Amino acid sequence: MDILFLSFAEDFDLVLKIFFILFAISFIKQRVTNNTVSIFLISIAIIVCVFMFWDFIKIPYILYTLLTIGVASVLVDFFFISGHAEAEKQMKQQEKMEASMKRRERDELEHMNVNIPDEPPSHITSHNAHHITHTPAKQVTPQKMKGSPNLLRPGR
Amino acid sequence: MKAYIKQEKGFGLMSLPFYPRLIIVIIIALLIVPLLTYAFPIAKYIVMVLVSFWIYELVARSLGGTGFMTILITGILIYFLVYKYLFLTATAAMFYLFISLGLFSTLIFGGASVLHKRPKH
Repeated sequence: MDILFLSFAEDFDLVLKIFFILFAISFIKQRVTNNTVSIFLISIAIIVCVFMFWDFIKIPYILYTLLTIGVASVLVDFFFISGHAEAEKQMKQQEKMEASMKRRERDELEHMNVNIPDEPPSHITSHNAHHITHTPAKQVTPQKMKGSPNLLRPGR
Repeated sequence: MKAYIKQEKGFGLMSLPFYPRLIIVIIIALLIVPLLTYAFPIAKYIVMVLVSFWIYELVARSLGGTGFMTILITGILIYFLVYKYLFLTATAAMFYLFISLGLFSTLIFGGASVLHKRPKH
């Protein structure tokens, strides 16, 4: 396995060197129109970058290639989504905290025997709310509740 | 509620956190064509031809012609990239294709909107 990986690394290095030589040739040919000067510069660039300082050039070249093909946009997308995810998580936590605080307040008020008007049932929306006449909250005794029909039941 | 708990605590893709899920989806999308080359031999030859043309075009554009050096360098690159490491080259080609067509943004945002949804309970 080690031999296989070493061979793969060596092959990758060779392919990278060939790509770098191609990159250097096209880069210099685009900028220097004189043929002799361009060949001289290409040979110097190849000798210096590939045969002398390849270890220093390799990683910047890989980064340059990745940035050229547009890996930065993928990273931006990822971080953008991570921002959304964080915001979503914070919003959920805040909602949970608010709900627990409301529940606690309600429990405390119930514990103190304070009459709390019930919240409107879920079937009453802003569309049909004008049909319902609001009546002041009454103190309902348990004896009366036994016999009386539940007027706030959604089916009625 | 039971279904929700099952999906959250299962051993499938949905039991993982969000980012590993998204990365797995991207890797699967990248590996579709390389795995097809193993499943169907005809797909393998099509990918080989496409990658060879791609390499030849790259080398010819860099050297500015179709001379002997172009053929030589293309041959060396085709030996390594197409003959020896076709799977990696096909994956890299898919990665390049996805980036150049802007499919990664679609994949990431689409995947995020789908994978953020939780089942109703």
